Amino acid sequence: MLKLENVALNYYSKNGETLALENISFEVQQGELISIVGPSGCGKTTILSLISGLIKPSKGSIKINNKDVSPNNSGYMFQKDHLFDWRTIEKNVYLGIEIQQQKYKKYEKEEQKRRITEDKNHAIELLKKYGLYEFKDKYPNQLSGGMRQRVALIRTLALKPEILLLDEAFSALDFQTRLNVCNDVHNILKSENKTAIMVTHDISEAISMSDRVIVLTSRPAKVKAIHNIELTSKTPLSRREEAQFNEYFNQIWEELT
Amino acid sequence: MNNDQIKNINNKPNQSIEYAKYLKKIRVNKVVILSIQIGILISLLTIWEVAAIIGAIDTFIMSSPSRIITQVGILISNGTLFYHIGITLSEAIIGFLIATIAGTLIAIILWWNETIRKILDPYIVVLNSLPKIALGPILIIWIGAGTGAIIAMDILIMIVITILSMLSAFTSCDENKILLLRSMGANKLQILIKLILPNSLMEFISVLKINVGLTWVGTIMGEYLVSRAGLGYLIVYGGQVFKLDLVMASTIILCVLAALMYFGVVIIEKIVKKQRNLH
Ligand SMILES: Nc1ncnc2c1ncn2[C@@H]1O[C@H](COP(=O)(O)OP(=O)(O)O)[C@@H](O)[C@H]1O
Ligand SMILES: [Mg+2]
Repeated sequence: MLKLENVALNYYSKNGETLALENISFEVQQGELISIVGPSGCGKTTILSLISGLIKPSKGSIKINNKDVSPNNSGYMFQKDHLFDWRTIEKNVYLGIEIQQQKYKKYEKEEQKRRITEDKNHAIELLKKYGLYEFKDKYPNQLSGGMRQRVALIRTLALKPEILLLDEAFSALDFQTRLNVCNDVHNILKSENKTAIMVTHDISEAISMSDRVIVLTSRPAKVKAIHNIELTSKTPLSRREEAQFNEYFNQIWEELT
Repeated sequence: MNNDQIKNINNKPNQSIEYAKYLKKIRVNKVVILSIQIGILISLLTIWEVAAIIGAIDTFIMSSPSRIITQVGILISNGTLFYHIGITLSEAIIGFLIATIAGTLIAIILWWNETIRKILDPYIVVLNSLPKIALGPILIIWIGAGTGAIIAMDILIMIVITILSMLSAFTSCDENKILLLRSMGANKLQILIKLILPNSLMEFISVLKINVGLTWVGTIMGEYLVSRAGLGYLIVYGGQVFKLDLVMASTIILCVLAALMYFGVVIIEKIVKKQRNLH
């Protein structure tokens, strides 16, 4: 569903020109969870920005279902949850719906209202399904880091994005919380059948969560290797226990050093 | 049943006796501080009054609490008190509102357009460092020696600091939060309304607190320069004809008004914090 072809990107700034990406090509299928690993500063965030349509490639093309990407296709998750302190959990997950309600402008007033309510109900369903509904009237500062990150994911899912982009989304959490949140997020993404690309510097996290791992070279980033991860267990936590896990780990470790 | 247990019954059922004691300690501490504060005020007034009665100070120069009260009584009975208060208060409030609203709007414009911000930057810096009182004569010539000049002086005192504080609040917003909204497809107006403005609310309240003090500086300065009425005028007039009772009475009324306005803002702050679940 997602296809990058010969993508290159140049940044221009006062200090000069930075070639961040060179000749990047890969494809992602519907429902796949892909990880991107690579040395820091190599251009991982840049790839996600390109896929989200926030910046345009200098060369090459990026298509989702054969159409050029735009911010309406994708949902972005960052290292910090960026929940708004002044909004309740419920209002936080409505944020994207409020932003995007202009897309219903073409309908009549009644129909607009109905669709917005429908979107909000969907968000509420997600909160219920993933055990956060009872906290809907709380403020972000009343929730733990792991819960906040799950709320952030639901805020993103509420927009029904075709593809999710997770940029080091778990790296601010402490180790144990991170393992649990990875399990939860994996579960949520798989049960919603969402396509997702996650960037991480944690090789174990990449292997335990993904269907494939893309390894990048240092800047300018090129695709160095793509690994099909054939682990059979259901959850990331149990996948870490499999014998194959260490083989993948060593292979990728080698490629990165 | 001892005292502690009785206390505890009045508190929430799951509160421990220790916690009740802790709360009590905080309450007692508060009362002690308040009593000392009131005590200091009363002693100062008493010393002042006694010194005046036994002739240790010259009441012609120093006035005295009882003479001030008498003076306030006179001002009330001849109906001039509320007239002067009304004038000064309305100048202070109008100046406060215009400077705060206009300053915030200008800050929004500067946030919105980086080019305008860069162009105006040196002008704002110069205007900020200029002692506004120096512009008094120019204001009087341009606007005329009246209420207009007073309010203009008042606005000048507040508006630059308002612009600078609000602009810095707007621009200090986390870049990634802006990126988050952009990744949802938000336009600039939505970023302003959904993020920048609510994110700056606490800074806005700080600005309100600063301005609610500055507006009295501006108004009284303006009245010193031009006015024929108002508390600033009473103070200047009292000074010129050596009626220290009048000077002191007006000053004290000024203190009370300024404090009341400040507490108004503090109440707004409390409401906002409560709404946002901040403590
Ligand atoms: N807006 C920008 N302007 C100029 N250079 C940038 C910009 N963003 C990133 N870069 C540079 O591009 C390179 C890749 O950045 P990034 O994609 O953030 O790396 P990663 O996420 O892999 O750590 C880095 O060298 C960085 O300094
Ligand atoms: Mg990055």
